[in-house]
Amino acid sequence: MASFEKVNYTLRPAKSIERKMLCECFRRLTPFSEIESYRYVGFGSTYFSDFSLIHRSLGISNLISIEREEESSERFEFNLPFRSIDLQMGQSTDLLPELDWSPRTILWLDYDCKINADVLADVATFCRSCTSGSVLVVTVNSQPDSESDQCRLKSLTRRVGESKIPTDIDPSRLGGWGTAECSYRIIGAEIESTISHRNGVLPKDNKLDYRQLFNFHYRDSARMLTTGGVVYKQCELSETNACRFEQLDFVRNAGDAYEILVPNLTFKEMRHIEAQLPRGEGGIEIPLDEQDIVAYERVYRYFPIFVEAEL
Amino acid sequence: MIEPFADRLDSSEDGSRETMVANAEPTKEFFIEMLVKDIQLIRAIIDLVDNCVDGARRMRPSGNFDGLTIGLSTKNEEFSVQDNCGGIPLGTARSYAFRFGRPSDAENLDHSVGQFGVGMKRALFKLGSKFHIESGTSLDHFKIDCDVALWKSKPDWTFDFAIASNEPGENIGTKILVSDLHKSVKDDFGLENFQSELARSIRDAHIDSLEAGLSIMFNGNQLTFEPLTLMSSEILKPALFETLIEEEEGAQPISVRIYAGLGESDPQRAGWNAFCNGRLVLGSDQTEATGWGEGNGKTIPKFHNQYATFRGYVFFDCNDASRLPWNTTKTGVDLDSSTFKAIRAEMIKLMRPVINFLNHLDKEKENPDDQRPLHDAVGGMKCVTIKETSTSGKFEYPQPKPRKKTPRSGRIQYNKPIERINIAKKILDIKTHREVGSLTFDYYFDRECT
Ligand SMILES: Nc1ncnc2c1ncn2[C@@H]1O[C@H](COP(=O)(O)OP(=O)(O)OP(=O)(O)O)[C@@H](O)[C@H]1O
Ligand SMILES: [Mg+2]
Repeated sequence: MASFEKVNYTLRPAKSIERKMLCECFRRLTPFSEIESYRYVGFGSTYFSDFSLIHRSLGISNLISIEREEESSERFEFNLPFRSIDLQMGQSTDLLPELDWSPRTILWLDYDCKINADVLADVATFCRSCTSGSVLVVTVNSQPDSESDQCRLKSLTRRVGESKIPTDIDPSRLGGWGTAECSYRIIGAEIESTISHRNGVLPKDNKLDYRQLFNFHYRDSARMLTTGGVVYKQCELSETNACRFEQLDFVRNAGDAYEILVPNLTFKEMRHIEAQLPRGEGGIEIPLDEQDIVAYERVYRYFPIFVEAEL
Repeated sequence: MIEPFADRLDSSEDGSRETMVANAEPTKEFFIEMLVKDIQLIRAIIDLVDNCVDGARRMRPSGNFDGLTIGLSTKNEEFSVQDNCGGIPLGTARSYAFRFGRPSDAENLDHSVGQFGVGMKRALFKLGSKFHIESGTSLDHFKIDCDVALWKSKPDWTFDFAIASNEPGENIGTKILVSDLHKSVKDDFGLENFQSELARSIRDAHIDSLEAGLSIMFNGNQLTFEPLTLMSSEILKPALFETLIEEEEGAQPISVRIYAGLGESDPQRAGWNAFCNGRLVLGSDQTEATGWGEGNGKTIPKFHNQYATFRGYVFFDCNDASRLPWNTTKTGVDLDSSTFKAIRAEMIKLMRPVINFLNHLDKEKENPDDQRPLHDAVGGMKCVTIKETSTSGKFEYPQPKPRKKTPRSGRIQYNKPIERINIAKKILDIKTHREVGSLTFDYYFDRECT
């Protein structure tokens, strides 16, 4: 297959699929309140891809983008796709604690970096302050450090602090998706303990619970982990259940990750498979491995359509 | 392999089980010699002051303590504390005051400092080996004289009283005198520094009662106090969080108030202060207990002199003192209590914006003197008592101007023979090496790079 026929991986198709899957899940938050009334907080960078999607497809217009490159603030401002994005310059660890957390919020901490104390500080800030029905999404680079097993554990320990490392971590299991699994556990533990502390003084009905929704693994280049979920008051359990998150096949409530696989297909192959989806009785006639067909079948609804164009 | 315990018992030959009892009675040594090791002398003495304050509260539920006095003396190789705060009722003295530990049926004083039922006894043993207590209410009057060594040697757990009915005009109040002071206590009492630290600690612990009109005399001098203050103005307002914790049904609610803001720059006084029922239990705390260094220093940095103006106050109040998150020596908070864990999270939330502001302020130091708007704004600001502060809840502060894009610069360094540098200096008509470097670079750049 000639390379010009293939999907251009610099366009990060897995990321793009993930974005749409998340959005599809956010759409289900309506039992808490109209989705348009939510606030979205993220790291828009200069592209604001998540902001465009969230605003266009969910109608959320209360938008905050946090940007730490203070030197280029004019450039970020220039690139704002919508007027209603409130661009806040500074570190997320400084800015998140200053937000008013009374609106229901979707916070996507979409880091490029690996898990570290800043990441956990932001996670804790959200859990300490968020209103019931709010959603947290955390993305971190989970590429194993290319070192020996013990060094991997050491550098992980250096980044998050000794007390955050699960006691049963096997240093020889940090390769492959192992670093992602460990990062997942550390983030989960931070969410759990922060909420448990907060619950200490809340009356029974107002105590909070966390329901995990996401545990994505994907790789456009480095291995990435996205985890997160919804925080809700125990008296809003029925609203939470009414969201029917579990109907989405990529939703994960536990440690078994959903891996976003991007099959390497040509545009012609993709269109041909799509024309026969959702699948009817017979098989799909195409000279491809069945596993590639199945992989595409799982993600085609979220698959980015790439056209070279000036928009 | 060791058989499980229960199995071994069951399989005894005739199937019968023998039971025995283990002696778990407390020893007097435990109270006289061991318990006292967990408390510092100053803290033990404050326990005695706490009891006087509770007496005042019992006597004046309205909270106006005008005319009530506590006198302490550490002179003449004796210790004494004396008050006119109502005295110990005979019934209380007989059935509770001298017991070690509060029995669950003991009468409760609303909003008390006393809670555990050990403070007075622990303080007496900590101080010396003979004590005399005299207390009178409007009804009766009693005296206890105790030689601790004798008391230790007798088997029963009682103190002998002498009782009289109170004559009109006789003192209503309590006097405690400890003599035969332990050697280390005598030594401390002889030190000027110890005296002043003790006086200051008593004052800090009971600012609330001093403000309510209580007078405390220490070796003949009246303790003066400054009320708790914070900076507050149009442009800078402290943060305030208030809540009522009513977690269990039927339990008395705990009211919590947290202030965070700025005070005068003083690294010793900076930090968090926690009060339980008006009694300071944690003063100027700069440790993890109150959130400093949280999240590996990312959520909240470790304390540093740049935060010398930070002041935080947290007040826990509850009619039922047993619900308060303090430890038995009242020298700190109970970090494991769910109440404190949750409130600590709120304290972290409140202090973060203050830390942000202090960081901005610190960054401004890099600017020339006339470009420090934040310094100028807080420079002349006055502190007001916390009751007089105005706040919207959130910490409000002057926002720093976004930093302008300044062209980034790098540093070039190289060595050249000094004679050559001097020649260049002469020709360029300049004085420093630095200028030689800079001008020669410009010369090259102008010709070759533009
Ligand atoms: N100066 C005083 N005036 C009035 N009552 C007093 C005084 N000193 C002691 N008492 C009585 O003696 C009791 C026992 O005091 P003690 O300090 O041992 O225990 P507590 O104050 O109840 O609890 P804690 O151990 O928390 O201080 C007090 O509860 C109080 O009833
Ligand atoms: Mg006491």
